[in-house]
Amino acid sequence: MNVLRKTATIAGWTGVACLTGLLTWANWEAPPLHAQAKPIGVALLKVDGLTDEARAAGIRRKIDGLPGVTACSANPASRLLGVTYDTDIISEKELTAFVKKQFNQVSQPSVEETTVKGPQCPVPMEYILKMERLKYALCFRQ
Amino acid sequence: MIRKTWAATLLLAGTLAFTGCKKDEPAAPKSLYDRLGGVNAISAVVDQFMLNVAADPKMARTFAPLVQDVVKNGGDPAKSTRFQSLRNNLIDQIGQASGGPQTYKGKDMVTAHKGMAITDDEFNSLVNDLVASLNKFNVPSTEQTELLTVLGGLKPQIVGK
Repeated sequence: MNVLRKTATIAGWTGVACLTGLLTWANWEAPPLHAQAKPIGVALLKVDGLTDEARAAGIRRKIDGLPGVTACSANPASRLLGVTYDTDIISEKELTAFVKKQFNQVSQPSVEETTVKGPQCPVPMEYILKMERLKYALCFRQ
Repeated sequence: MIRKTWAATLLLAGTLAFTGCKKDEPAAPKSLYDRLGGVNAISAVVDQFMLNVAADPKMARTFAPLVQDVVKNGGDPAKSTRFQSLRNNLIDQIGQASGGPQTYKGKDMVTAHKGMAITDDEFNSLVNDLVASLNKFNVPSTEQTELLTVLGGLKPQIVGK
């Protein structure tokens, strides 16, 4: 019984210490500006029918009018259509289906291998972004 | 007691009289950050700018890894980490450059572009893509010029590294 009580006490104080450490880490500095901007989904499509500026302007206008779309870019030189959207309101499937109704040949862009790598971070970016989200969730300095 | 009351009354009257004579100072001019519209406007401009760049054939060489990241991960915000990370850094950098409250904590421009051998043409294409995104949101020319002047000052740290 005494052993159990001691174990529970130690576990309890360890939990309090961990929580205090977490809250201190999260609130050490004010969150950056991007913490206030909602993450967005992004879709990139190759559209063979995007042959001139008039068609590009037309599809841009239509996609900009869709609910949940935050930005749209259509470039006839590269035949690429890019859309950023709020994932709570619209999905990539719905966007792709909408574009396929306007143009026949829609596909994923093929990206050539490039020698440009830029600086490489040894820590996986998914890990860093997850830790950031945890930090901002615990931060009271908004 | 009466003397104390009089003294207090005179003191109060004198304070009110002197502060009443104070001239209203003109309001401090709004920062570029406020005139642009704060974080929502900046993130909208950044989203548009990044799409313009991703679709720009002149930027294909330098932005191929980013496009690969989006195509491979289906644009899921939790998985297209390179895109999201660049977006976050651009929002912070433009926010700071325009006098916003927070600071940019990403890599400095020399380190971030080391080994990429960015050319003048690529930098100028990038600027044109930014101008196109500012025009889309009808940002006034004064604010555009101010922002481009600040960001254009980074050119020596980006080109040719």
